[in-house]
Amino acid sequence: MSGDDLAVRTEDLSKRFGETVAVDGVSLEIPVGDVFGLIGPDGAGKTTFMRLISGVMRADSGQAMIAGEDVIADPEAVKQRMGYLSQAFSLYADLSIEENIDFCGDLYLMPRDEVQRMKEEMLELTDLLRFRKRLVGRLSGGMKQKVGLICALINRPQVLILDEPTTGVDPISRRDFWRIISQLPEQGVTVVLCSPYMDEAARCRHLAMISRGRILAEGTPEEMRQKVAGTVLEVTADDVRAASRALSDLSSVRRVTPFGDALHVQVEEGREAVSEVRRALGEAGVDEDEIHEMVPSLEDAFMDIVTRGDRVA
Amino acid sequence: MISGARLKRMVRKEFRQFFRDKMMLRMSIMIPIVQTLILSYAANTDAVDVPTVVCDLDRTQVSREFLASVTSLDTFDLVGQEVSVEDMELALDRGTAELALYIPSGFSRDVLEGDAQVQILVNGADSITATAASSYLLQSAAAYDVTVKRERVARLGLSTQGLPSVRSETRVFYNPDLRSMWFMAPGVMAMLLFVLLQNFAALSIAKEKELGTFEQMVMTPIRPTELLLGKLIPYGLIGALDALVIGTMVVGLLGVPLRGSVLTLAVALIIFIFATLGSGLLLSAVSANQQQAQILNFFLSFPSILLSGFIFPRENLPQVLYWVSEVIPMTYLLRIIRGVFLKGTGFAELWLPNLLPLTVLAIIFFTLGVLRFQKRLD
Repeated sequence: MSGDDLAVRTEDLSKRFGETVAVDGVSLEIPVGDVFGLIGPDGAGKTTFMRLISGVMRADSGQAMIAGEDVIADPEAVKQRMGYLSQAFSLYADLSIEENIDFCGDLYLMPRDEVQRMKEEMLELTDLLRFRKRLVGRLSGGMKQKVGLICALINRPQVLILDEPTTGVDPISRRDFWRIISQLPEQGVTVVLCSPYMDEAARCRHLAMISRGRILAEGTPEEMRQKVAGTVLEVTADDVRAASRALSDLSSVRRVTPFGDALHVQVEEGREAVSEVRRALGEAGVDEDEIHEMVPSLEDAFMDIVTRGDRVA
Repeated sequence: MISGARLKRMVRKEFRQFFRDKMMLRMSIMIPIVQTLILSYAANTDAVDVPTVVCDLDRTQVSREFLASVTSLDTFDLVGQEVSVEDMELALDRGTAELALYIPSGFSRDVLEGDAQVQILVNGADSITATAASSYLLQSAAAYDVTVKRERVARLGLSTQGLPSVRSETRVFYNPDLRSMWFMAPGVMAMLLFVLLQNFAALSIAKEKELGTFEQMVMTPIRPTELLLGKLIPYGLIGALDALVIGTMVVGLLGVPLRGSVLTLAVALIIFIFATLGSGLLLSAVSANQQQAQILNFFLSFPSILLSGFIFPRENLPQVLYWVSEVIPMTYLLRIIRGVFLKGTGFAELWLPNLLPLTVLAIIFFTLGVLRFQKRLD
């Protein structure tokens, strides 16, 4: 891939805080027009990575290019063409929705009429038009985050960076939120987000899984699912906890993860695994309703990759 | 390189938030008005009606004459006239009296023999008032001494004409009645401006950091100087307005004479506002949140006020603290403001010793604040 097609490129990017290595030699390439998700548990280094590529935190070593600009050499150069939405609430609570958006436009020196037009359009799209005069401090978490997204897009950025954008956001606001994001690639906007949520990961075109500052796997959501070693069985049983106890000690079982009233049981490849599971449940006196092979979920993939990665490290 | 348009919009946003915050509005308008009145009257070191007890063990015509002549001033409020030694000490202990005058028995005889002594007991816990009152008492006693001597000489049939004597007469310039309000009120003006502005500036950036809006701001192309000026210009203007309001009150309501040039005063105040916003900005830049900024401000404000000569003369400070007081902007503003109000000191006389150091401090604090401020999150 040539440099022109890349919205973000990092090479061996590292940042430590005292003894902790927050970001450990991360090299990533994110093509223009991508919706890229950095997925990892809390404390994996997601926010630090986002701050490094935005140029608001200095890297200890490595390279970072965003929208063709070298962030390490000149962190201010890219800011006019970048949008950023942080995880924490970051609007002025004592200003109205409209005043917040206008002020953001002011910071980028955007023409007033263009801000006006975009504001109308996006407030309409996010169902916020009737609240435009309301102070942001009196909005729900989901509404605040939607206003934050509008602010982050007001300068028509080439790259939009979202740090856990829908953490603590209600499902309906989340839907409105993604309605806007999914339109962005066709406008040539690259979206880079990080999230601990698998349903959000599933909406991305490309994913990278990060744990303890290191990238463990990369690919499309489909490719991620295929990275799961062995086979995943879905076991439905009356007593899920007893079933889980019975299975976790089996040598052919790699992992048992409860999902509601079912278990995802990751086993070694092959037919005999199913019968072994059935026999173990029978011996434990657990009535199983159903056992069948399933396509691994992203969550299975995530658990598998992170555990294996941590074991290596 | 500053974008005027962005700065203008930043200032407008700050003003909008300022006027929406009822607490800030009250703090910056009401507090200066109320405080000017309260502090100017309260910070009054005049000695009037000081509760005084007298323990007269002599109880003669002479001792009563002496008493009448020394306690006639309205400085003293005689709360006990012929009390015992025990009651006198008790009155000082309990605080019913600040001052006690002890006349030993045999006083009248000693007066005639030319070697009488009295004792003044002072409550040092309130040293300012007590010292002032006891010095009045000493002066009166000295005057009585002279009177008695002259009478004796006259009674001997001699002329008092050639009697050797030195009389010192004190004339107080600029504030002839030694009204402490004249001295305090201009100082109160300086102190209020200092407290208010340093607080505003200390909170400015710290508040944005705490609310997370700073994180958003650093992601945008706004330049550090635009951000800082945008935050501080509104506070500077509010400070200037406060100076005008307080100044008008000090002259119009409290009757303190403004003998010097208003322009000189205005120039000094503007430089001082810059210096104070600069030092406040420095506090804000090193703080992660509002609480840190406020604690820092709290610990640095007191020394500024106490060492600047607002209450105690700087000449009494230990050498090290005296040097410290030379880098406190308040020190210079106080000298300027008192000079302009009471003495009518002009720009030319103030420039080198006071205005220049104040300007240098303003530049240093502002530069340090700007340098310490980072448009980054680490």
